Amino acid sequence: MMRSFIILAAASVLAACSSLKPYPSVAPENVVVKSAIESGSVLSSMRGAVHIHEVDASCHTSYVGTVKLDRPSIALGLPAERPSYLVFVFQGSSLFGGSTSSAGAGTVLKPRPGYRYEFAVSYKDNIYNVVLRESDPRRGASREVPRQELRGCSA
Amino acid sequence: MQTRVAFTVLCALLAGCAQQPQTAQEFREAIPGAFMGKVQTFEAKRPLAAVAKTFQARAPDCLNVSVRSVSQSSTSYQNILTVYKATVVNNPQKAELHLQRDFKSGVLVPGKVPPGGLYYVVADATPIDKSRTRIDIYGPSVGTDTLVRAINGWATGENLGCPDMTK
Repeated sequence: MMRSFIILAAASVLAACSSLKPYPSVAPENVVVKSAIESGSVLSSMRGAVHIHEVDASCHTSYVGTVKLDRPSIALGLPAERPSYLVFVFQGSSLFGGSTSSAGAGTVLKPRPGYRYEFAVSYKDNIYNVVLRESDPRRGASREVPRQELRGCSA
Repeated sequence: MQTRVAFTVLCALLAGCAQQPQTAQEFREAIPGAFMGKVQTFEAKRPLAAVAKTFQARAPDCLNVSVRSVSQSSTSYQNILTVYKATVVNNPQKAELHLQRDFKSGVLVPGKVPPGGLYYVVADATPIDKSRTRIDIYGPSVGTDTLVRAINGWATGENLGCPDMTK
């Protein structure tokens, strides 16, 4: 189910921006986000970001911070063996103002110690995708990790 | 999004007191003769089972979304919450993807709304042969370009991304 996906538009997005804060640096940096985001139009712009939340034992979330996806590759650290809820958002705006929109995808990630995680994030021609892969540097093995909803998470 | 909502309202008004399709089959039958209705057909070079599996994997993940649209001018204010619901029905002869939308606020819909909301798009996948599948998409002729491209991408397996339903 895609209840973890929330798509908002206009004022709600603008209102939310006011309370955003940078995600703090956490060592080790076990997650890489590789993004390719295209607006698809000279009259509009598209920006990406990932909002990171802590998840407690009752699956309640607490906002920690936001990482702007303004570079093709960004590394960040998530605490191992503790679930985090990551919400990727794509926010578009018209150059002439008047309208903004935002689409997004969320997933719970509970990093395993020693493992590395890579998100491949894309937005092109109004179609977006978020794919997560987990790799074990010691064995060289890698697998795609299905998106996990917040509902039903097991912290 | 604004265009699509306006289109829906227009259709609803033009439909007057006409009965809204209550099932996917009623929707299929209504679209070819409907004002600004359209049936699009294409071919996917994959077996039906593969198409069905992708529909099952991607449709709920991408299409069960809520969209809030807010617009404001000096003389008006509009706040529309639309909840989309995707249903995939698979059997050995056919895979169906039904997308309904329920206007929770901001839109008055005449007539009876079926459970889950008004039917918006229905996509049928049927086998041409062992390795090819025919896709028929029933829906409005405007405002669904991104959605149709996404369904096309799932059917062909060439793009598994989600459509931005705010567009």
